[in-house]
Amino acid sequence: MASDDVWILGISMTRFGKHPDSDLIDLAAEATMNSIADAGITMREIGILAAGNLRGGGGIGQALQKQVGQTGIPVYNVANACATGATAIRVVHMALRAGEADFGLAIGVEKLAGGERVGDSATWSPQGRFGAIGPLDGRIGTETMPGVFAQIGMEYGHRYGGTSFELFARISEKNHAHSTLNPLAS
Amino acid sequence: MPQPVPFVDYLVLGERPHLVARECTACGARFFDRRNACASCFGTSFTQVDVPTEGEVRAFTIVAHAAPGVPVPFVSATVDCAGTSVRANLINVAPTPEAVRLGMKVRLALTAVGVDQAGTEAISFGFEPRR
Ligand SMILES: [Zn+2]
Repeated sequence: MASDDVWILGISMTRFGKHPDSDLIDLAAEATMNSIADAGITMREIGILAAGNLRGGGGIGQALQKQVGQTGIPVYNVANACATGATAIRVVHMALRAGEADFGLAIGVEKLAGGERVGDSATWSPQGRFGAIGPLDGRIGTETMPGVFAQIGMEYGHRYGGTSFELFARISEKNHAHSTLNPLAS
Repeated sequence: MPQPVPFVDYLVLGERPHLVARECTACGARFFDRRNACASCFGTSFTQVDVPTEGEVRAFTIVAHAAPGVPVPFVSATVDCAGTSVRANLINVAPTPEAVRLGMKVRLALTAVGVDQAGTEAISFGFEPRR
């Protein structure tokens, strides 16, 4: 292939929701099967796989291959916070540009429902790099991303002034308006 | 009765409760955990310093939804203690937009976490409004 262009042949996503009856691999497999069907190819053509996931504990790419087709291709598991799925796309994009493969599959999957804070231990014992005797979330500020980013927005407004909360509301309004165009939004 | 223990190792209890930080000797950047090199200047020498117990709220959010097990609502904040950024809850203040505001003057305050099976009490910190 002489062209430097990389084409997106097929794309798919699962419906947003808690999916109590589907695990991570089920969700990844559904998106994969529909993507390659949309592209009109099979796993046989795929020459590289990048699998993005943050909270699942690793090895999603290998597990996905067992679920949908294991052909001995290189697989890269990536984790990069909010940019995890985009990083999977970048890994495949760069591999195609480098000529390592003609077809690649990038997948991003996450399951967040059902988490809870770990309980305190029976006797206090300092752990980790803050020598904490229990989980910090909710006690030393928040660790959830909506809370952290809310504070970043507040700090931006406080430091530079003039950043109205109307502006943040307009961004939210725009994003929600986009979601109404997505039949898979919850 | 056993001595109370601090919730984190950078909280010093006793007569004059305060926080301690590791300060980069080259640029003065402060960190509450151990570092191999300074994130700002890559310096590798640190010294322990006391953090001022008074500061002002630089950012906050009122958390209404959290993981099961985390009591809500609570106020999460970044407090500027004379140049040192401290992550903490705001305590002894109503968790409402009317009661909390940016630039609010606050001071370090202690709060009870609970007692373990050995009868040891754990003490954490937050910041409360200065009156
Ligand atoms: Zn430094």
